[in-house]
Amino acid sequence: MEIETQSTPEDSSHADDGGAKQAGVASTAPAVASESERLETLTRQWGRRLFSAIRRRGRPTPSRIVHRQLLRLLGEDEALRFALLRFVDVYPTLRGDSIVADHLREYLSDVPEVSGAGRFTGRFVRHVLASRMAPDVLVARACRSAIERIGRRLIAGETPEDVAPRLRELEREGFLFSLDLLGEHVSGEEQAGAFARRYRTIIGSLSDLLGPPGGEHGRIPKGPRVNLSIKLSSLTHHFDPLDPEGSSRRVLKHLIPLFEEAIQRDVFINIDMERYAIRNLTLHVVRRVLDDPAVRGYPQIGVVMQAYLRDSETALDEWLHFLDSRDQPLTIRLVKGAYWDSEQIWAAQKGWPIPVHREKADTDRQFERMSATLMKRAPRIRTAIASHNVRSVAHALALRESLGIDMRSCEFQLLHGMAEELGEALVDEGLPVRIYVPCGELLSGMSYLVRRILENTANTSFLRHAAIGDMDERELLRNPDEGRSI
Amino acid sequence: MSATESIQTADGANPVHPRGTAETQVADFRNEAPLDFSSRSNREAFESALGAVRRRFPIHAPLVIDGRFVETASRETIRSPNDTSLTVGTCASAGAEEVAWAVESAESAFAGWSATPAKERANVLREAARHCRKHRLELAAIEVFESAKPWREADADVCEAIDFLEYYSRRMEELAAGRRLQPEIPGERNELLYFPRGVVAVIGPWNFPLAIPVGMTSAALVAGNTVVWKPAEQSPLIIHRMMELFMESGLPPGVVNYLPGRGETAGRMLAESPGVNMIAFTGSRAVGLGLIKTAARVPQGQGFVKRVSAEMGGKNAIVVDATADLDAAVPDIVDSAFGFSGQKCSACSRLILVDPVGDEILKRLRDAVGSLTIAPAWDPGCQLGPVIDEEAVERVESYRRIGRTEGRVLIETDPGSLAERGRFVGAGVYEVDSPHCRLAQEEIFGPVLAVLRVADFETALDFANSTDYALTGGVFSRTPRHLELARKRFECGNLYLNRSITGAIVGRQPFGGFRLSGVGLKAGGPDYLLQFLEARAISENLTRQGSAPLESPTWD
Repeated sequence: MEIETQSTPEDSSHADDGGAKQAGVASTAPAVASESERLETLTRQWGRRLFSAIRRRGRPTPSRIVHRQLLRLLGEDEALRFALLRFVDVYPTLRGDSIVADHLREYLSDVPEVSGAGRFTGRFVRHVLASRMAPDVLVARACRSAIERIGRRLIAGETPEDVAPRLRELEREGFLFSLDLLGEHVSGEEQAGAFARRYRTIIGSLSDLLGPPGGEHGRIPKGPRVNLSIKLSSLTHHFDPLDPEGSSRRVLKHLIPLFEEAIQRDVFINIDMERYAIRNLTLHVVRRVLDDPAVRGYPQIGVVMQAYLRDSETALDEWLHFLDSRDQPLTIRLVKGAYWDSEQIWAAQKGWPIPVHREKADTDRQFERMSATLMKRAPRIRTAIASHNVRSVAHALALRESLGIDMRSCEFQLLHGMAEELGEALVDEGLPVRIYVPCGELLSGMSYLVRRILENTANTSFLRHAAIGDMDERELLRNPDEGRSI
Repeated sequence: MSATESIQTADGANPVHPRGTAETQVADFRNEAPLDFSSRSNREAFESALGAVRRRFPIHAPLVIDGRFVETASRETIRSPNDTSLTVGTCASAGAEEVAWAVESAESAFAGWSATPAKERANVLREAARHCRKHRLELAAIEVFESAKPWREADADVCEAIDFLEYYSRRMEELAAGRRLQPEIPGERNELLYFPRGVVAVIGPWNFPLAIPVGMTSAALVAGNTVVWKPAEQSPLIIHRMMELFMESGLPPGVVNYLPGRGETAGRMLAESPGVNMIAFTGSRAVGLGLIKTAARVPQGQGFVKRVSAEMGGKNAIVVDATADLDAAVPDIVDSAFGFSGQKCSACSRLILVDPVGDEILKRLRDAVGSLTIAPAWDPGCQLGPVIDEEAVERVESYRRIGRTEGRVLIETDPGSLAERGRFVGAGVYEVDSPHCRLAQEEIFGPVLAVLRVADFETALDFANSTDYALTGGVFSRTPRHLELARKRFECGNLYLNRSITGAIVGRQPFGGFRLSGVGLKAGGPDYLLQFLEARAISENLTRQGSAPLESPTWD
């Protein structure tokens, strides 16, 4: 095994080895500094630059102030945060004003009050919105407008037709996209078939829906215009690590034809990563895809690595080793991971070791190490840095610069409706930025939506701290190796 | 002989330590973790355990009486439900003589065992748990062949058996310390002490072939009783293996006697035996009620009333309302109704849909049930394995016919050619109109689900409560008021909100129902051992010449 720094995360030797010696270290770095110090200096420079660009864009508007106040409130008031999340979760099933209003009241009735910065908003929510004083019709209208606003911001539309104008707009603004189809949990093979048909329709018709490419930034490297993110659990009712053979067979039945179509139409397909329990199975299926004679060698394929997993560096090493043996080019999206709470709950319920880092700093550290591992594999491996954390992004930018990585081999990815100013700042730097665009109904998008709201409001959330401004830039840019970081 | 010693602690200085000086506490208990099958090495290990067990076929299981292996003239053959041409093994079959001998053996072992300090008894259980852990794959593999338990469920069954051994050993150490009674009055000392009862006949089921029998036996044992252990006719081999592990764990001869045999002969004689003080039973309602009747008779020379703990059936319902998360509900309903082919007393057998949830969930349910992979249990892809025996095949077939007449077929699946080799049946889901029809009232114990639609949540609870049983129940809803109503009004021993209704875990979900679902205290819970014990309240006058210390005695 090449990388063994995981057990001693404080050891920063990873930054001293190999590749970084070649080129691109900024002239401002002191000549005597070690490789890792130079990288750190460069990271901070990039971080400050991004922050000032973000600040220029982030003028306080009334809606931003409300947003900020809400984040502040939810971060400080855990009970209220979960009560509201539960309400948001059930909302799409509620029919009629009084039912909506009653549910809000019921969910909030047991939440104790807290003191602190958010208490006024908290009181408003509890005593005005959720009291019997407020007429049902007004309460329902307030809920509807709030939830649908969040929904529309995060989920671009219900159907590909709805989403197409938004995708064109993103392209005009200089962004790339990856389309994600939200849907029900697949519990039957008919449902799986229907999902596969939805994917197939996108592959076959999205570029027609989008019309001729226009307003594309000249700086962005050419590549497939249509980029689709697929979840393997949506292609079978039984995606079970106990039965890798059967699971693969069921998934490949749909997946191989999708790839054949994608190859014909020059569409990029990314295989998304889900729960830890199916991580290895997912990679196993992708291996089988890459072994398929129809697909072998096709470069427009991506997989995801989740830096919050304790064993993700081992998994990445094994995966890179496999790719080396095939001479297979591939994109690897590096994320922190979206199932942090769930993974801990599932593991605790089973009595299994918790697969994710409990400390955010450990995840951030591992993210930076994995960024380096990946970028050193350019150009065969294309790295997609998918994070909203300015420190993590700045670190990747510093790496990219110091390793002299070209545009084609490194891109940045953000979720639709999140960290928009960061995205714009990166586009202004002439960097390829891809927006992950979910598409689907609010009802079936709820699990996505709730995860995003959790992400935005968690105490450890970079976005939350950046939005409410309770931590200064230095703090936000702090090297995770130094201890606390968010 | 009195079992006072059984509460003596190691220091021996004071026989009573009312506030638990036990070193281990139920609070420290942790469930045995199931195997993580996403690990390739675990999958390979399980596969090779299947191979290793299979190479030993046919296994033979003689009786074990007074620590000796005993053969009988007649033998039973155990064929795998997955493929009836595969003989898993043979076992001896007890007759009147062996039953009498086994009871005598247990009676004579009682004096020594009941006098063994609770801590030592608990240590034997812990040692047995250690052996189970060591052999967990082998035990699970036997279940896959003998009972057609799919991999994950077989593994979970072994984990649960280990949990019972660990949990009850801790709990007994707490109980053995006795309980000091309140209020405390100067000059008197009031304590509640627990004593073993005598010989316990354990009559187990085949559906959780290791866990439930081990749970009953280990509870009886750790409480200081001795046991005659009659396994189900369908699954004697796994219990024989467990018997060997108990013997290796330092259990003295005669403390547990393994007595496979026919229910209507050996089982009945055992229950009637005047030497048996208590019957711990899990199984069908008919047999359970029969045992209760038998136990009520007090033959000449039997100076006590037999106690019966009987966990019987269920006709469990899941209620789904319009605010349910169907993404979670559909897989959990399928799992609850069709896991281990519905052969669980906790299985979901009725689905009650509150308007307007109906059409959408039924469409998804039909798809999900139609997609279940029917396969032998040794196939890791198995989602719907065979049922246990021919009788079960016929019963399921007959309820499918009833479903077709009483209701409308939502889906029926067909095992095809598998049925020629093993005891396979398809799954069936039927929509019925009345909560009082047979399909909605009778326990089927197979992969058959009755669906009812109702107008409102209150009616759903009325329907749910409208059977003779009260074992498990479930609600999928995100309306707090409905969940609250279910807590108060849903009549069942184990109510599950927004999750599947099977798979109770020791310590976390003490298990057992009421009404015709059974009598007795909840298995895997803090009270379970009490039914294997006699409580004695002891009051001592501490005064001498009217005087006594006003402070509490030193034993606090």
